[in-house]
Amino acid sequence: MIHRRWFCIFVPLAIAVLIVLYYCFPPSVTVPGKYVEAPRRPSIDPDYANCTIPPNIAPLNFAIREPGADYRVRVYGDEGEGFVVSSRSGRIVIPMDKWKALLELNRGGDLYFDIYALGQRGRWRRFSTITNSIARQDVDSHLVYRRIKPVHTIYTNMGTYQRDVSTYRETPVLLSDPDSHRCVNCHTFVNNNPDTMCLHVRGPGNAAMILAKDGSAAKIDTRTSFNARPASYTAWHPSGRLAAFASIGVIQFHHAVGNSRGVLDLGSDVCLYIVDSNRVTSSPEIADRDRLETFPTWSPDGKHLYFCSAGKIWEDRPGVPEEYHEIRYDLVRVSYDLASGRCGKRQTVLSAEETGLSINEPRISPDGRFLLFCMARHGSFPVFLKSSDLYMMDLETGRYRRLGINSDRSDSWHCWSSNSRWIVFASKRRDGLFGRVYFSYVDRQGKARKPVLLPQRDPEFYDSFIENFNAPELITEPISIGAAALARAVESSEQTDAAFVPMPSAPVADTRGDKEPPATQPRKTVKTDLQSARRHYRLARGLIQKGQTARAIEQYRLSIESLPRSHAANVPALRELAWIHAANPSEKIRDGKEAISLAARARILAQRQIRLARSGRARKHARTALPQLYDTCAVALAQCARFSDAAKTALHAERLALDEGQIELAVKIRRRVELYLAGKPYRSSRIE
Amino acid sequence: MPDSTGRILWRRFPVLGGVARGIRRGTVFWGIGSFLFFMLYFFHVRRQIDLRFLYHAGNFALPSGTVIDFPIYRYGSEFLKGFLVRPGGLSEYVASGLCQYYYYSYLGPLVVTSVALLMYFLSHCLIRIYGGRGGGVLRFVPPVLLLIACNRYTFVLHNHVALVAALVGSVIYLFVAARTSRALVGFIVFAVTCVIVYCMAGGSYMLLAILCVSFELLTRRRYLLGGLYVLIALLVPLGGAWFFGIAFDDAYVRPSGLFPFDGTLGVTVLWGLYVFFVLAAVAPLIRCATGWLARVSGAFRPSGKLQAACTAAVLVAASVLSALLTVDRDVRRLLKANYLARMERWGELLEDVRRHRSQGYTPSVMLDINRALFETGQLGSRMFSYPQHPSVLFEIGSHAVDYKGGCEVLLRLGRINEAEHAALEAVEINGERPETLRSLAVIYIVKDQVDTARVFLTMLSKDPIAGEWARETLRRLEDDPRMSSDEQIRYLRSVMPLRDMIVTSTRSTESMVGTMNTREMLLLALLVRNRKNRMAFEYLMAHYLLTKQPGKIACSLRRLDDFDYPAVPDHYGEAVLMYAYNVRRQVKPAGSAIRACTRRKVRKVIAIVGDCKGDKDAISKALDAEFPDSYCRYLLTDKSGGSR
Repeated sequence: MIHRRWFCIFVPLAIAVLIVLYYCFPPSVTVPGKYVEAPRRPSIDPDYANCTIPPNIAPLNFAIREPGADYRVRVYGDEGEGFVVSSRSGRIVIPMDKWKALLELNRGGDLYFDIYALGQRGRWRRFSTITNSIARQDVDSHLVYRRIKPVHTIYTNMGTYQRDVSTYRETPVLLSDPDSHRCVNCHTFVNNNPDTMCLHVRGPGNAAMILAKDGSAAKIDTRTSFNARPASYTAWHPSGRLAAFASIGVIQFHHAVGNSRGVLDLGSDVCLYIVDSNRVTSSPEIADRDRLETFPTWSPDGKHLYFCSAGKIWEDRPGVPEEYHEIRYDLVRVSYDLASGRCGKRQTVLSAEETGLSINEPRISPDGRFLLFCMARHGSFPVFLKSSDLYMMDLETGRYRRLGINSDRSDSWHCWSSNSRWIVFASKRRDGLFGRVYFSYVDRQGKARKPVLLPQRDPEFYDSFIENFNAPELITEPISIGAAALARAVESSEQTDAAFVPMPSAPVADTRGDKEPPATQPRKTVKTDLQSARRHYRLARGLIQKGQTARAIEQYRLSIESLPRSHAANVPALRELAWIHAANPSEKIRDGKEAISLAARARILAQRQIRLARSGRARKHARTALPQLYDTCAVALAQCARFSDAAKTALHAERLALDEGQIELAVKIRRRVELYLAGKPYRSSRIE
Repeated sequence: MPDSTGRILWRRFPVLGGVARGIRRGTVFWGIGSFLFFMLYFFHVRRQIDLRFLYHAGNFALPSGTVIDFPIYRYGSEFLKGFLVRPGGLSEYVASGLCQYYYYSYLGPLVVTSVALLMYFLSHCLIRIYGGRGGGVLRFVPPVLLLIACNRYTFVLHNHVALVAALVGSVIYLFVAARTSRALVGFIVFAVTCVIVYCMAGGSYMLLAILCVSFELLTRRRYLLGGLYVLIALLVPLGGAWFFGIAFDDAYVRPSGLFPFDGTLGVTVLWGLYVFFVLAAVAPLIRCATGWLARVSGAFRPSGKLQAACTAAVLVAASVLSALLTVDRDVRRLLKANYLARMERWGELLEDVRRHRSQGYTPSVMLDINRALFETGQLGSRMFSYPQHPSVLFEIGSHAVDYKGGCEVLLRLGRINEAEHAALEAVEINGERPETLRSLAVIYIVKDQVDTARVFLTMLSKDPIAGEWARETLRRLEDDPRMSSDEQIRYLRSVMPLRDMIVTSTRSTESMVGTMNTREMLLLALLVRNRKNRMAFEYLMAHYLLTKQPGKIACSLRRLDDFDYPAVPDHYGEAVLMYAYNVRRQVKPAGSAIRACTRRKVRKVIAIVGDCKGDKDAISKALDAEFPDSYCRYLLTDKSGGSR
């Protein structure tokens, strides 16, 4: 009985001890003695071959994408013996301690992977050696990034995390509350040091900057009478006494084809937040009301503020202007004097006209030598744009070039290490949808080496991970303030409101709407000559029937000019002239912008006529013209290639026509709607 | 009962032996009764509840505001790791895995019946250990309570798995403690069990603490040890809070499912289960109760057979009543409709809805109904026989469920980018559910973004149910990255728009295809891309019908020639005739003709309107009686879904 009891206890205990021993001291494996050479590089994922790797990075675990029943990988350098890792599945998990010792021993040298695969006939194959370089300089010890799913409009699960670069340890910095639908964004640090940091939260009923300094966090509302929108893209002044930020009114939109998401800044200004006095300041040099300013960044000496700026190319109207793809940002800078708090005149560093691309996200290396930025075909949200690539400018020579590390997908969200030798950026090169973090070594000439994907414990981690890593920022030590303290600050009802003070050198009016109106031109006195207007109008119609369009346009103009601008009798002439400019087959005659202006004027006049009509009959009569006027507007919009707007307007016209019982017109409009939706304008020599 | 092998087994594992003896001491009646009970239990769960409805519900919002959140499960250590970072995670993990069997009509009920059987068995053990005689009918209380929870469709298995884990821990401790008088052994077993059960079951561990403490205090009367146990019981969650990094108050109660107490039957039943076991722990009370029962039964002096019959009758009555009376038929109806839609059993869906059309339906089910009408070719002629709402065609808005259903319809229509938008929002809100991942994989294959599709497929390949499809698709992608031979992919490519335009701009939670213009433009653009896209045409017409734009139907009739309609579908005909009557113009549909019966119907409706002289109530009554399924009724009275 005793014997049996001991047996029952001893056997499981022995098995447990054996399991523990196996995992603590795995049996040593060696490379196969006999093998055949496969004279090519093996396929591994992630592609850790010919890269320059930081000497303090966590083991680069990878998966071997070669057929085989068993695999051996010998990891070694010029110094030391190296070690062998085996795997039956091809998932190579490198032991941490051996890896670290090897990297330390071979700092500045090369690292080799010899890969062996056991084939079907029991024969080992050895592939060509994979070589990576180990840099001398470390990358900063921690990386802070945001993890977010490829969301469109609803945010429930996102968070900012810090990752120890030398291990796989990831800890949350701030997690968003799933019920709050709040966006957590733009974490920034002073000179790569996390002692002073800030990040932003934005969501329903909550938009604030969380400022964490010396272990405590405060919630600050940076919105003032000057900048009504919350802060983003913060950049700390090297002194840590102030931070520049962009106050952006952003709109997200969706495409019917291709990349689904798009983002547009409808208005943005750069402002400065002064920490000690809790004030926001700005000047027209960095916040021009006719331009968009964003992505501020400081030179390492703190004497210049760089940012991106673009002119507004559309008038204010609801929704997304269809000209969004024409907006391109210049790279500009202003001087800044910390003592007086004044900034100098704006200077263009690199113009979009010169590059033909939109410049975004400038970041200057801590040694002040290089300026890293990205450029895309348009806009200011490179992470959504496939065309976004990284560029480097040598600030000593002013020359810039496209880096060789770019992919054919979005590369953006970059930052520098504190020693200026490493850059980290987010790229969608793996799959086109999910941003992943890459390290790239930058030599003293500014040449970037092949990037290394942030390693994970699971070699196949990225194959099925459906979150983006974005806004990676390197820091020299871990963030000391806990996630709970930051979360408390976010949830706190105590919020410090920043006050606005104009910048001393260039006073900025507190209320932007109070700008001096332009001097008014003395009005022309226009005689009301209804008969003359009608005569010209009749003449114009006759000429149109004869096919003399150019002369008809003249007559239409004379007819319109015969009456005051607001005269209702102008409506037919305005509409018909708009139609000619919009739909005439002759390119010389067509003028889309003029057509839009004339059609809009005619429509406004007609609507005014309806409002002012004294009798129901007069109102009804005026209303019957409205479908045609909207239809003309649509034709004009299509001429300007604003097809979405044209289709929407035409559908409205169709509805009005149906309400009036004008079913034939409605059917015609419907055919035109279909043209617009096919991306074609309407052409007709007749006025319809 | 047990043969010689069994005896050896019982001897080696005294717990089983004790249980076997306990069962053996009962009469054959209890054995057969229990067997029958659990057989019926199984068939009730299978037939009446049908757990497949829950599996396919995914993340389903009920009209009451409750959201059924069916758990997700993935193979692999990465998924497991996510559960190990919090107390109670392991029981959630196990429950998530078990819940996947709900996909199968037999295995799901088998899982639930097994949990019920386990509870029956554990309550038997507990009652015996506390000095009862096995509990008799009381043993059936936990399975019956579990059945009630099942009947409500708010059944989250992880709370019950956590409870079972706590009970198993309790039984282990009580069994050891009952067989040894050495306090140190008991203390060690208690401490170890506490830690393990806390890690596995989280807040449910408190049941273990209560059962063990009450055993020491009330049964064994070892007050010092009992006091020490109380201290340990309080300290373990504190340690857990420190170890797992959670709030102290959460460490004691979550995730037991007991808090917050929202008064719903599901939570009340869970409370009932806990209270039952706590009461069972109060051994003297049980003894009193059993003694009282004995006295009562003695007063009547029933024979053994009569007593057994009475007990059986009580059991049967309680079970039948709870089984029948607590089934949430409204939720069942909605979930069944949802299930039939996910299975694409359109005819059955319409039949089922027709039977209950006087009941309310959620927007997501109404969306499925319209899809079913289209798939069965009845959208243009029978649409208003079913409940309708202007925004249920393919509306995707801020509500979670709409994204999933909206995604399916948008994808089928060919609006690939909008379907992508809806699916990604669904992932953000509902989690990585297999059906959404599958839609995303298809979307990216259609868009020729094979690398992106692979990420979703690799994730889906770890799903126990949809994994096979994902692995097969990954294999096919290796051979043909465009998957041009796939019929669905080919069809979607033939209907998807090729010309870009800004579909909509959104600010925060604003609905994506919310505006009337946008919906109309989306559908028209599809017809411009492929004039044979029948679904786009019928949905466009349905949109006009629902938004009361009969004129636009008249305007679009020329498109009927692109399809093989034998005649103008009834609702379109009604719309055209009503429009013609309103604007006093004649509208001639090109090609097809409006049926004579439709003309008669509209003439009669016009006559009714004339007779009622603008009295809306009278018009409504007359139309309810005469034309309950007509578009005219919807147009004039906003009513749909047949007579009520």
